[in-house]
Amino acid sequence: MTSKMGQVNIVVAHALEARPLIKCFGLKPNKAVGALTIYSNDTGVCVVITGMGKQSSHATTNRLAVLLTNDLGVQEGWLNVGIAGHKTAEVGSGFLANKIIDAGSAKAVYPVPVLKDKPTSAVITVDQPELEYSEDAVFEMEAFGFWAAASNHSFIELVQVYKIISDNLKYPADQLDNVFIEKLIANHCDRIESVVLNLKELVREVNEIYRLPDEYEELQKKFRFTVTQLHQLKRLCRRFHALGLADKLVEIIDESPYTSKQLIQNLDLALLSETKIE
Amino acid sequence: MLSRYPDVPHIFCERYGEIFNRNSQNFRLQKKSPALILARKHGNLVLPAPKGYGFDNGPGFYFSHMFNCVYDCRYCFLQGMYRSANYVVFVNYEEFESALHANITKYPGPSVYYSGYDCDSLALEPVSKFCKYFLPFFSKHPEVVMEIRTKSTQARTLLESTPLKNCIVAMSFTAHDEARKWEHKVPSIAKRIDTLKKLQQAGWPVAIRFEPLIYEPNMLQRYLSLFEQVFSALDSSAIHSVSTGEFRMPAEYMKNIIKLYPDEPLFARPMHKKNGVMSLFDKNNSYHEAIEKLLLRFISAEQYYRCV
Repeated sequence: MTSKMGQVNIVVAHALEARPLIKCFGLKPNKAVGALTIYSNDTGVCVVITGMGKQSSHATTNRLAVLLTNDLGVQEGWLNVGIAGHKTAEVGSGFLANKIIDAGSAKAVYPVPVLKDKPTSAVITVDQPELEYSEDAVFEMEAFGFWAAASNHSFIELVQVYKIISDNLKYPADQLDNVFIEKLIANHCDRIESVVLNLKELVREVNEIYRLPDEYEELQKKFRFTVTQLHQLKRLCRRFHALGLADKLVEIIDESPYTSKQLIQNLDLALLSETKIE
Repeated sequence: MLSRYPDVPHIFCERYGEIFNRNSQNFRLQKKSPALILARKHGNLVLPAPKGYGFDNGPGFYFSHMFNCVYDCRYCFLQGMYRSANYVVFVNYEEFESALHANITKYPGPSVYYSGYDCDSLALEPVSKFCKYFLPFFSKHPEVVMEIRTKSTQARTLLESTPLKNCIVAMSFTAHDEARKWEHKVPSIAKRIDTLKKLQQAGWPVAIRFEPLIYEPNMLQRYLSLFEQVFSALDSSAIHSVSTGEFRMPAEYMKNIIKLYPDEPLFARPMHKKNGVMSLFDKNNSYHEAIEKLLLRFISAEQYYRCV
């Protein structure tokens, strides 16, 4: 549960991009998550390989997010890492996306700038490799698809894109080789690790704030609640905790037997009486 | 404005709503490091003020050159009204000016224009130059009043300008304990009083807003001490108006805020809903009257109004 509270999923297009990350984060193949090729460790980092292009990125990210969805509403961080082209930026430089444009539809989305101290750039997701770099922006093929899927499953502050420049006008994409790509990613492991750490901190913070009280889970097992009652129970448990009345909550729960309806009524009444100001 | 921030990335978008109004944002996370959005406001530049908002001086209107506030008051309804904590500054001041002019023509005679409904009017003045731009406009329309609602001490523009009888600086306060508990990043009460004092001495009409009143044990004692501090520093008889208002907000906003802050004791307290508005549950509602009684020891009944 501890690592789950600060889980960050790194999404890459190609095994060449994944390999240095697998090494860097000490990841092991994980066969438990559907038929997806994912690698994970015990500290809450996971890498998934989506295949190239916007559609593949969207489909795999979405699939992983659905598989990871839980009833407790635990949030996860999402980071798309990959190589990209740029008209002027130096090969080997890295950027967080501050705007992602889908070249096909001209739609744009805007990652929230929660991670500081890293250079940022607009990222243009293209359907075919871009060799002319028509704008002074990062060109790649997955970010928009990734964003569209991940932002459906998490707060958008927890969804980020980091691109490493592998080609530009001077060093065109057709000269790239596999060894060079792996080396580029490996050279950025420190920076990627720092982005992941920052994301993990945010994810942990969010999950700590929105974590459901243990009593809620216990009571769910003990009684049969309607959907409406579950909402009421969730809120009541949270209110007891917010008001520093967790002990009182336990006391009331221990006074069973109750019906679910009686329990909710008693919790309500107890809160009213505890918060009465003379 | 852009030149003030040469080192932060300048990102272009078509409409501010693409960023400000989108789904799945977390206001609480964004509040840690909000971005500044410069935008043009299209339409609805001047709107009627909600019934019961503000003082009696003919019809009331509000206009918002900014959405969101640099402070982080836990009780603030903006947290529930907006999905984003980013600051939006609408830079089409000329269009606001035209809309204000048209409204003043449409509603001749005395009226009030509130500038701090969706933001703090003064807090971002060094960047927005809001007062610098709009004071000359209101100086040409002495028949209408502009309220500059704030908790800020950014009074330099005002202190460097000729005071206008129809521009009222209204400073908001809660008692010391309440301010410590809920008003994050807000200047201290002492500093706010000091700012008001300087403004009053310079000839600006000042007003006091004791809002929101949040029902707490021994609050009368704490408010008495606040009143003594405020009114001993100011010329009470020259204060334009003093108001009180209970903690309340539309139920929809409250619902959003509770989701954002499930761990906040204030929102865990029993509430009641009346006509779509949520407020703290108070069986006899006597504390508000008691506060009013205390307040009227310091000011005249003519200076006072209750915001509903």
